[in-house]
Amino acid sequence: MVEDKKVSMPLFSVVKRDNLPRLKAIIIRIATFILTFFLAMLICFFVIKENYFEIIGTLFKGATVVSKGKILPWRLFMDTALLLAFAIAIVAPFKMKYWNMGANGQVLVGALAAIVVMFYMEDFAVKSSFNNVLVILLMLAVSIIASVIWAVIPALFKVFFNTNETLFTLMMNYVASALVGYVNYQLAQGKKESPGIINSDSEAGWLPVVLDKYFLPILIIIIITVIIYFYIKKTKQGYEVAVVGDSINTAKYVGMNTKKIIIRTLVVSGIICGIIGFIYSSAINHSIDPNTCGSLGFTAVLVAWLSNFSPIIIAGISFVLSFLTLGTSKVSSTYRLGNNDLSNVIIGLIFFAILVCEFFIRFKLKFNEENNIYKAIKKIFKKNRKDGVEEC
Amino acid sequence: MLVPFLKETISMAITYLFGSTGETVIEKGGNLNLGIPGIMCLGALGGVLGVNTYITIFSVENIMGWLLILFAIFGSFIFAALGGLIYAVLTVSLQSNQNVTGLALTTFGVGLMKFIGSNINQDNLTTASRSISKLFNQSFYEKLGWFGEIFLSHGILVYLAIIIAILTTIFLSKTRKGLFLRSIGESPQTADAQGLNVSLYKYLAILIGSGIAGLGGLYYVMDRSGGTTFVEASIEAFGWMAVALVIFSMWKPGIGIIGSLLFGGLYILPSFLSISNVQIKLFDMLPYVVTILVLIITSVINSKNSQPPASLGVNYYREER
Repeated sequence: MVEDKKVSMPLFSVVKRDNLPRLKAIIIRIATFILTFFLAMLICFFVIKENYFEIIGTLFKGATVVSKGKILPWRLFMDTALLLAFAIAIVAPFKMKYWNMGANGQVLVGALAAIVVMFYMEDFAVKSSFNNVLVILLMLAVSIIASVIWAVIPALFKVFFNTNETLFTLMMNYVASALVGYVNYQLAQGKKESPGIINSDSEAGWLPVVLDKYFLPILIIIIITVIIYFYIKKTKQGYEVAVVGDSINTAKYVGMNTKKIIIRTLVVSGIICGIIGFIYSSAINHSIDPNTCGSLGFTAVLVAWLSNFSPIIIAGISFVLSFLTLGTSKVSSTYRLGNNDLSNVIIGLIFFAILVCEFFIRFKLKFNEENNIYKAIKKIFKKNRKDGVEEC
Repeated sequence: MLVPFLKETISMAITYLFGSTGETVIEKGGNLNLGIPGIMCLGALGGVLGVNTYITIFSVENIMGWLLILFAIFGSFIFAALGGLIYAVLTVSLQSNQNVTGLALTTFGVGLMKFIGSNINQDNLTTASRSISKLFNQSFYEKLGWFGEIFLSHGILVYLAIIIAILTTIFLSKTRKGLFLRSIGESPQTADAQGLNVSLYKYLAILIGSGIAGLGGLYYVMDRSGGTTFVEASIEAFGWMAVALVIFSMWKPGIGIIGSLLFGGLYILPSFLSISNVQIKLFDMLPYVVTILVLIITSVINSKNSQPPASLGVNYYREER
């Protein structure tokens, strides 16, 4: 006879939730974000030891700062647009479960190619404004070509040999950084680390300024975003990306050429990175250094994942994160905290919190009535309720 | 020329070795932790805080080497393991995407190290570093000629790294518990059915692995770079190399020792060649290019022995069919 063994039931089990209403899920995420933001500010408060609300005020002022003679906070718009562009560049590969961590490197080589053209074609460009337009177009073209090459190399190895694309693209970032360092040295004829701002007198190869230095770049990025939105949602190619992402076997079964689809998607990703690189060189910096993109490529991966592949949500999150980054850098400088890394700490914390809340959106805890602790807690609550009734 | 080169190679390799040994333990349990760069930064931060605590309690004039090292290792391990704990809670208990969690942890860890690091007192780090980076007396190892110079001129963390790597190999391949951990990495469903506590194993693997990886950050800051380049240190890049090294070593820390020597040698090679500054810039990309080649070669060969654990990167949810 089998002995009846007393099995202790766990306190709760984790159960998958039926789909939560979309609005409710969004509200939970936003609430989590706001809560974490105020908590993170509380940490800042303990470090800085100044008025809590003053710190938050400094952050808001820093984020929305309007430079002299301007009406709008262009810097905030530009940062938002850049993060948006990075995330848009990786969202399609991401949908295929292709982890492109190399957006930084792809943008860097693109920007580098544009800088080189700008550097060597100054004499040609200053001859006439038509020539200048030609040089700008050439910069755009070489930037796109360089970025596409940088994006497609890991993809080729991924589809033919199943090489780990996460690490491959990461390493390509560092190769790109080193390449930038090398070419910079060459352009400065080995005398300095970098030639500094290119064509600062003639402004040859610089994107013309309309309204503001940042207006045209932002406009270009908005156009790209709209195009990618339609590419993902409305075209056959976008649909193929979704199928490959859902199940590569299904895609093969219905006769899709998955290798071709993966490489084609990475070409699209490379084109966008090339355009970003062109914007960096021609419109924003007119110079290049290995840290030009900061860690935008990584943050973009988090943004793309969080957005669930929707370009509109990407835009929203990019705005919030850029707002935080600009604001915290102001907080750092105002309260002499040394450097700008406070923003990364806060962004990290917010992502942790959002990951926790994702769990509660997808799952729920189901308590076991057989568990002793549960019984005990229930007893206490029952008692309290009785007490409450008596008090009434 | 050769003797200092080999000595420097070993000295550089240890940063990678700690990182890759830690990551191997984590990956053997089925978790791909892309937070290693962040965890190594947290380890560096914790180690420096440990050193600072020691100096506050005792004094900088009169340093007892072994006690200082204990403080540093303790601080480093705890901070890195706390970073690992965040990762473990999110991925093992809360079923978060492992890549995303890892990236967030890297962002957080690198940021926290630089943020706190630039706001703490770094005056005494170089003094403290002197008693961490030498295990034997100089007169002792100089007597042994080239052998002493190459192998015995290092700090205690170097020997610790090699011992940990060997012990990890033995643990994974020769012990019962190691077998259980590997079986969880291969198929958590089967291991669960067999009665193993999957979550417990995963938690322990992540915490201990993170702690080991964190020592790599401590080593780089307090030994290799002599306590001088704390905030500017490129620990993040070393962390990514360590993750790549795991693939190179085919998930075997023993091979990881050789791999880390190779990576370390490549990293310091330019400073031993008589080349111009411009060419040095080109050499900077060498370790990364070689890493890429290694990734390609291991994937092209694609042998049975060099495969990752079958459930790597996939969260285990018991009620999933």
